[in-house]
This record gives sequence, C-alpha cells and structure tokens, in this order.
Amino acid sequence: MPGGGAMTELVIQGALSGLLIGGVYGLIALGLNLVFGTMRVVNFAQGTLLMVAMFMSYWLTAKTGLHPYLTPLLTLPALFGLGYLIQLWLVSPLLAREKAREPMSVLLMTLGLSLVLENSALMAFSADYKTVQVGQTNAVWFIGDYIISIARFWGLLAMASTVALLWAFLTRTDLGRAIRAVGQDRQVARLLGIDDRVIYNFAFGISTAIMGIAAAALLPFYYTHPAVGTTFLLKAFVIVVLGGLGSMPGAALGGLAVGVIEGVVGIFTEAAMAQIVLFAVFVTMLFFRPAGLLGVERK
Amino acid sequence: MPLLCVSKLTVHYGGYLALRDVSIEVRQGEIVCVMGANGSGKSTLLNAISGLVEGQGGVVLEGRSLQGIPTHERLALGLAHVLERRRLFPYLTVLENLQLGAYLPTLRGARAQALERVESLFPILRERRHQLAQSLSGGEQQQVAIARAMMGNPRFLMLDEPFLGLSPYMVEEISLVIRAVNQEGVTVLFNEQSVQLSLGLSHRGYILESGRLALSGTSAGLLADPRLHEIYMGLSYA
Amino acid sequence: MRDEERRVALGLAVAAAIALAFLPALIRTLLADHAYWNQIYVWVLFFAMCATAWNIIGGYARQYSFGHAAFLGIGAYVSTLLYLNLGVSPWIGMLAGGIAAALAGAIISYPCFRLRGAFFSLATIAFAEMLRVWGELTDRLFGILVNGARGLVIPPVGSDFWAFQFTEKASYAYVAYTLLLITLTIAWAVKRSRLGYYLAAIGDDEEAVQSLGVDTARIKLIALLISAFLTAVAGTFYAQLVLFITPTRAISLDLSVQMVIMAVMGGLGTVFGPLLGAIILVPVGELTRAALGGSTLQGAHLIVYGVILMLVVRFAPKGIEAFVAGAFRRLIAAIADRLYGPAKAQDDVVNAPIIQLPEASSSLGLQAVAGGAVPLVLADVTKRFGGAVGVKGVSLTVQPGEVVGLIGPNGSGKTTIFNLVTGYLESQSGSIAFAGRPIAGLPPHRINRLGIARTFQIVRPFTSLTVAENVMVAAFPRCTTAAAARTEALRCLAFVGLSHRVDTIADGLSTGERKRLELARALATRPRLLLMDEVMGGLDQRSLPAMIDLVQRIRAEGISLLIIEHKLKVITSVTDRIVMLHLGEKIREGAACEVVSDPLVIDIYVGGAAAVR
Repeated sequence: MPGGGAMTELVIQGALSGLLIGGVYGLIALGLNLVFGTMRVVNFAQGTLLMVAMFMSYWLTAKTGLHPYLTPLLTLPALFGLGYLIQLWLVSPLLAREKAREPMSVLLMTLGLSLVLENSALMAFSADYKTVQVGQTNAVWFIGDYIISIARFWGLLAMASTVALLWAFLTRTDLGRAIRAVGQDRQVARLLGIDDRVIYNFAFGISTAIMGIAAAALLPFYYTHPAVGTTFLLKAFVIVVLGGLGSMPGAALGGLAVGVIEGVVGIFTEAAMAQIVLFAVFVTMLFFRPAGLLGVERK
Repeated sequence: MPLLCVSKLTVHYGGYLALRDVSIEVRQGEIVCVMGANGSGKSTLLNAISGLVEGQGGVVLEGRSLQGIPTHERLALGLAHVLERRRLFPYLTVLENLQLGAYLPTLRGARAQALERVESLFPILRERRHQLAQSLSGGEQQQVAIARAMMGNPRFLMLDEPFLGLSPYMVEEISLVIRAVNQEGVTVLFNEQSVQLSLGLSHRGYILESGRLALSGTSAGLLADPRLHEIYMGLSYA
Repeated sequence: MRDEERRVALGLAVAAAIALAFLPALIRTLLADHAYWNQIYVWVLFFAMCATAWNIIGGYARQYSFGHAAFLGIGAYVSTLLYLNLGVSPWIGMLAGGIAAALAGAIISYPCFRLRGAFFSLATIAFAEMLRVWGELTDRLFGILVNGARGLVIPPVGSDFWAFQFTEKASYAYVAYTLLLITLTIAWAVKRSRLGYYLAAIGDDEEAVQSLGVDTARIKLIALLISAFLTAVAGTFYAQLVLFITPTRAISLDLSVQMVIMAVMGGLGTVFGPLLGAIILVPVGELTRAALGGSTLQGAHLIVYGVILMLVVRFAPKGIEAFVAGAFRRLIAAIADRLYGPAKAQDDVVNAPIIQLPEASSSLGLQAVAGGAVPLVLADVTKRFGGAVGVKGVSLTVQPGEVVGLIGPNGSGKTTIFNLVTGYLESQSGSIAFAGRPIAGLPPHRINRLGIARTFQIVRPFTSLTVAENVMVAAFPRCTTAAAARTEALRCLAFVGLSHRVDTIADGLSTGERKRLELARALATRPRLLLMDEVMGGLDQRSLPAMIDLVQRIRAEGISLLIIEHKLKVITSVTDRIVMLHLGEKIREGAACEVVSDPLVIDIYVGGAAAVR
C-alpha cells in the first residue's frame, strides 16, 4: 500500500489522465447536446456516428498515410453531409408527423440506424481492434512527477477549441443564432423568416461533423472498433444529464468531470468500476436535478 | 385595392371550429383592430394570416394570394407578426433578438441602419442590448418584440394582444410606438380585448364573437353602437 | 361487430384453441429432422415471451424500458445459483428469480418513474448497465461463487425434468411453448382487466388519469412487477437452454433492445403484437446470419432488425398487428356473410354539430354519495411562477350545493386556481381545505378520491380508448368488475348525451363531444365538487342552451360547482355567485348579476385593463 504522499500523487495523476480523456467525452456530449437543444430529440446514433467517423479517419490514415490529425479536413464535410441527410430523410418526416414535443419515435429511429451502422461495420471490418501508431501515440510529457500523454493533451485542446469555435458560431453568425432561436421558439423563428426544418438539418449535420474532430483526437491513442460507439454514447448521456441538457458549457465541463471521476476511481479499484460510479451519479442526477448542474429548468 | 384582404376564412382545430367565414380587409396606412372576448378567434385570425395555422378561404396581401406560402417565406413579402405574450427568445440577448429580426439575406445588408432606426424608436433598447431577453420587464419585452418585427422592414405589421399584462404607463408607451410605426408608413392590424383602448388607437375595428364576425365599422361608429356592450361582454348567445 | 360475426369469431377461437393444443406435436413432426429449424423455433418462442413481458410496461403504459435484460439476467442467475449451490430445482428457482426481479423492479421504479419519455429509457439503460458491469466484476457474492465475467456453467445431467434439462431439444420447445402460453394469457388478462385500462390511459395521458382518482405511480409499479417477473421467468428458461450464462450475454443492451424492437414492430400495447414481431424477426434474423456466413458474425441479424425498426417507425408506427387484426376482421365478416347472408348496411352515426340531451333527465342518483356539508375553502393562497405571479392572496369558498363562477381576463389566474385545488400545482402560501381537511400538497389522485373532480381547459380524452372505455377508467376505482364499470360509464354517458358514441374511438369526437366526454369522465368519479374549466369554450352557439341545461342537471345531482367561463351570459344564468380575478387577485365577489354590472368589471372586460390601478 503506497504511503499518504504517494497516494495523493496517484490520485492527482489519475485525475489528470481523466481530465485529458474527458476532453473527448465532452466533444461527443457536445454533439448530443446540440441536437437535443435544438429539436428536443435524443439521438441514439450519436455514438455510432463517432464510430463511423473513427473508421473514416482510420481508413484515410491507413490508406494514404495522412496524419490522423489532418483527417478532419476530409471527414468533416462528409460527416456533415451524412448528418444533414439523416435528419432530412429519417428524422424530419417523423417530426412532421408527431405532435409530442419530445417524440419517442425519433429515439427508435436513431436506435435502428445505430444498429444498422454498427453491425454493418462489424461485418465489413470485423470486431478486431484497430490502432494507429503515430508520433503522439506513446509520447509523454513530464510535469514534475506527473505524466501527461501528448495525444490526450491534443484531444483536450481539440475539445477546447471546438467549444470555442462552436460558441463563436452560435453567437456570432446568423446561422448560429438561428439554430439557438429555433431551439427556443420554433414558431417565432418561422415568423422571422427562418426555415426551421433547414435549421434542423444543419444542427444535425454540425453535431455529426463534431464527431469527426472527436474521432481524429481519439485515433492515436484509442482502439477503433465497431462497438466503440456504445461505450461513448452511454458516457455522453451521463455527461449531458450531468452538465445540463442543451447547455454547451455544461457538456464540456460534464465531459471533464466524467473523465476525472473515471481516472480517480480507476486508481482505487478496477477501471470498469468507474462505470458503475458514473451510472450511479447519472441516476442520482436524474432523480434530484433532471435539468443538470448548468441546465435551465424547463417548464 | 386593400393591402390585406381576408375572405371567407374558416379554421378548424380538430373538431373545434375556431373561425367561420370571416372576411376582413385592411387598407394601406390604416391601423385596424380585431376585438372580442377570450376564445372568440382573434388570435386564430392573425395566426391564419401569417400561416401558423391552416385555414380554408382567401388571404391576399398586396394582390398576392398567400395560399400555400409557408410562414417563413411571408416576412419577405412584407408581413410581420408579433405573437401574444411577446415570445422573445429568452436566452438570447436583446441585440441577438433584434439581429434575428433581420435574418433574411435580403435584410442583412441594411441591418445596421435598421438597428439604428428601431433603437431610436425604442431608446431603452440601447441600454438593454446585452441583457438576456428573459431578464426584461413585460413592457420592455413588448418593445423588443415590436422592434424585432420592425427589423424585418415590414409593410404590414400584426400585433397579437400587445397590451396584455402591461402597466398603464407602458400601455401608453406602446400605443405611441404603434402610432409612430404607422406614421412611418407601416399598416397595422392588432388584437385587443379592451374596446376603449383599441378603438382609441385604431381607425377601424372588427368584433369577433365565437369565431364569427359580429360587428365592424369605424372606431367612432363602433363606440356608439349599442350592440357592442352586449356582444362584448358575452351577454348574448341566442 | 354483428352477432353473426361474434358467432364466427367464437367458432374460430375454438378451432384455434384446438389447433394450439396440437401445434407443438405438429411442429415437432415437421421439424423432427431439422435441428436448425427446431432451434429457431425455440428462439422464436423465447423472444416472444420476452417481448410480451416487456410490452406489459413498455407497450401498455408506453414506458419504454431499455433495460429489461437486467430482469432476464436476474432470473437466469437466481435459478442457476440456487441450483448450483443448494440443488434447488430450476422450476422453483424460476419463481424465485421472478420474485427477485420484481423486487429489483420495485427498487428502480422509484427513481425511474419520475422521469418521462427518453429520460426513463436512459435511466433504465443505466440500471441495467450498472448491474452488468457489477456482475462482470464480482467473483463472489456473500461467499457464493458467481464467477464474474467468466460466467457460470450448469453441468449437463442428461434428461432430468426436475433439473430442467432435456437431451432432446424438442422438449425445450414444449417448455417454451407452455411458458409462452402462460405469458400471453397473463398479458391478455392484464389487458382486459382494470389494470389494462389504466395502463392504456396512462400511455395516452398520465396527468389526466391522475385527475380521475387513479394512483398512476402504483399502477405503473404493478405493471413493472408483472413485466419483470415474466421476463425473469424467460431468463431461467434461457439459462437452462444454453446451460452457460455470463453477465455480458444475459444483461446485454442488445437483448433489451431486441425486446423493444419486436414489440414495436408487432404493435405496441397489443396482446399479440410482440408474438408477431418475434415470429417475423427471429427467423429473418437467423436466415440473414446464415446467409452472411454463419455464427462468426454476431451482428448480422441486428442489421436486419435495425432496418425493419426504421421502416416500421417510419411507415407503420402502430405495428403490423393492426394489419393482421384488420385482415382477421375482414375474414370474419366475409365468413359471416357467407354463412348468414350479407350484413345490413349500418347507419353511420352522424357527427351532429348541435348538442342534444336526452329528453328524460336520467338522474345519476348521486345524492346518496354526496351527503354531508363539504365546503371548499381557499384562504390567502399565493402561487408565483418564477418571478411572475399566478395568484396572489386569493380567498374563496364554495359552499355545499353552490355554483360559483370564476371570471377574469386572460392570465388572471383562473386555471392556476384549478390546478392548485386539484393538486397539479402547489401553492407557496395560504391554505386549501375541503370538507374541513387541508388538501394542499396531496397528489391529484388523492384529491379526486376526496370528492373533487375537474375538467381541463384543453380537453384531454384518452385518444386510443373508446368513449365508454374513457369513462370506465374513471369508474373503475369504485367498481368491482369491468361489467359494473361499463354500466356506470354508460349511465354517465347517457347523462351527458353521448349514448350514440359509446364505442367510437375518442380521437374521432368533435369538440362538443370531447367536452361532454370529459364531463362524463369527471362525473364517473362520483365527485362532491366539480371544477369545470371552460366547458362551453369552442361550442356552437346553438349548443349552448343544451350545455347550460346539462350544468343545471349536474347541479340537481347535488354536486357543488366551480366554473371558469368567459361568456358572461352563460355564467350569469348558471351561477349563484361570481368571483372576478384580475392579475392574480380577487377584485370582486358577489351575486352574478351584481358583479357583471359592476362598472369596474365592465371596465376590465370592455374598457382598458389600464383602468385598474
């Protein structure tokens, strides 16, 4: 058993590692939150879309030798288009039909989509774990006695810059403001000349495109495999509920918090135990504060 | 030719007949009010004109039928609509709300001037620019709502219960604003429960009762009409 | 349905029952040499069991659980552990597992049922995943070997009925067949019982059910317990079939999701839908798996499931049961036509725009129940919404047998008062008492049980139920049998003049009919005080006299009334006293004609709202 000082160091190291991967978690939650905040539907395929993005980046790296960090240049437009079309072809017709504000049919539709995508990937690429070795994969920095994985550090940075960019987009551009406006009041948005259906398509497209960034950040230090989506999706749900539904800063901070919880719990017990702790936190949050820590109370 | 011509408009919600065979017209430069008790169909009439609800019958704006034109394309035709209870985007700032008023690409170029114009119309908005819309008082919110609609440079402005829940002072302020907007050449159609207030402000009025047109005429004529009181207080039903 | 058709349906049912008895033998003969098909047949039965069990909470009450595999896992583990450690027969372990799963269901129900829609689904996923991960990490539980992720093996003992093991796979088919029949019978019985009506109504509009004196949390709990128990029974069967269980397999999200998909595809909330879903999906999935390269590809069938789920959600949201049932009805009609001659063309009930009440005022005979002087007393009640005031310092009394009108402009707080009295909102200060006992803070169903019923401003019929069934939901708490509830419902419907519509699906009613349906529903709860929120709203002018007449008749039953109404003519003709609200405060109170001729009231209605203060 390590002494008190060593223990503290271990905990700090765990928290640090967790914080770094929490950046990627935050990115995925950001995508989930953008769609929920705009159209009040839960996209069950969010994790699977991350998996698709990871395979895209993996394939580009493996075939062309492109550095994973450069793959978003190509994957982002493709993923945006994919998300746009999913909304246009699969989700829109349901929203037009349903009267309920948070329709379950969309959850079922995206569940169906995720089953198709995940298992098609399983057939096409098998269940093997694929990894990409690049300079950042095993590189670390030492800060004092603490080790910082460079790949994870870049992941955190990618999250921070995506949040900043997205925030700027949502507050500074007309399209961004229109996305927020539609999330707050569709009818009024329509009266101001905003076509809410097109805005939905954009929101879904952007939310999917963000998975491209998360994928590129993950690729150097994480396994690419067909079931990777489910793991991340469940964490993203925890994060979104923790940080607050529809809250962008909430998603970012929630992601970091989940990373830290995982990192610290992982020190004391088996890593998988962290999942139980996370879900316990999740259920407690849902119970006591369904709007999340930073979320706004809804009527 | 009238600016707006509504003919034989009928609106159903499920099995509920909200509006039946209502015909009204609004001429260029007028202020016209639609009055009636709760549930008489005032809001439905406005919502049908802006396309938020579907109805059977004709709605013609400046000689052009609005049939089949989706709501979001109607602002470009010069039609603006402020909904009941202001309906600002609560978590956007005042400025962002106003900017969204000129969201259409054709309006973006002149957005700075439009902002200048509405802020001179509502000086208080300049101070409130960076506040969240939900933090404003009811009167201020109504000003933002009208200002946001004016950002779209409409020729025809509809206001749904613009005085609802406002203090007497704010009622006065908003009345002045409506007059000022009208002076600038914008034709106005609004809803209001209160007869005195509405007719004091408008040139002509229509009174709805249970989804049908019960009375119409000039403001002075309506005020003098003995049937007004009875219809209005819902004292007749036979 | 005609009597002739009923006879044909009965005949077919008897034929089907006989066929059912011989079906296993038939299938056994057909599949005797086809081990592969026999296996698929067993899986169809197993999944039909699971999906049918899921449907009792997921479909009947529309509580989409995505964590039912947890119950399956509990069933599998409890029976297996009992067998391995204590030698208890899995047949007994099956019941023990069911009870354990029901207990687990009771525990998670408390946090989960507070959540709606997708959040309920997410919470159930979280619980199932917690259980799975915990199972994978746990080697010993109270000293008993559970073997973590490596799982437990049930040693084969050859054919032994008490050990629930059979060398011949066909025997498993018999067992599964029997268990499925039991599950379907329970699902059918639930559907036909009061519980079934409550659940269907909850699926349509839970809040409205609460207003009828039904404790919806308890109803959902009961449904969850039944559902969990039956799922766990299927879990024990699963363990005995494969003789090897791991948390990873038994409590997998995929398994939970498959139950959902089969029920959705077959038809949510129907008795036989999940069975149809399993009959179609399992073989199609297996064939796909076989066609695409055998069992090495675990997920091939899930692609098909996913595609089918998307198609069903998009194009047949009610599921395929609706088509099958429709075809069945047409078949029955055709046979009846052949046997008894063509049916007479039935007159469609015309949707009469003008309300007409039955001539003879058929009394509901509620006086006996009414008895006793029970006033409603609100004292200094205040309710704020965030910064805005809903009602401020309102005091109000409704004396026994009195009819009080509540008037005021939009947003003056009338409906807020209704919501406070009926428990849908809780006030910040002040007191509300009925029959001398404080009722503030009680849940809506308790308040209804005390004798306060209400209607909603925007009518909320249970749109998937018939008119009679809508009222039966309200009558059930006071009736012992479904037949009694139906009789009571028909009486209430006759009272409001809806006898011609009893078997229409409520979604097809006109506004006037919906308003009266809500009145009938409220009356069926035997209220002593009835709150009516704009029952005249949206009615044709010519219907008003009949509606006013109806209000008078309700009053004649000895029920006190508190009425929100905009048409002053209406309110002056039915009320004894009027209370006027403005901006959340009571500004006038008095005899009807006095209040409506009060200059201030006229000023608020006709003149400027600005005139006040």
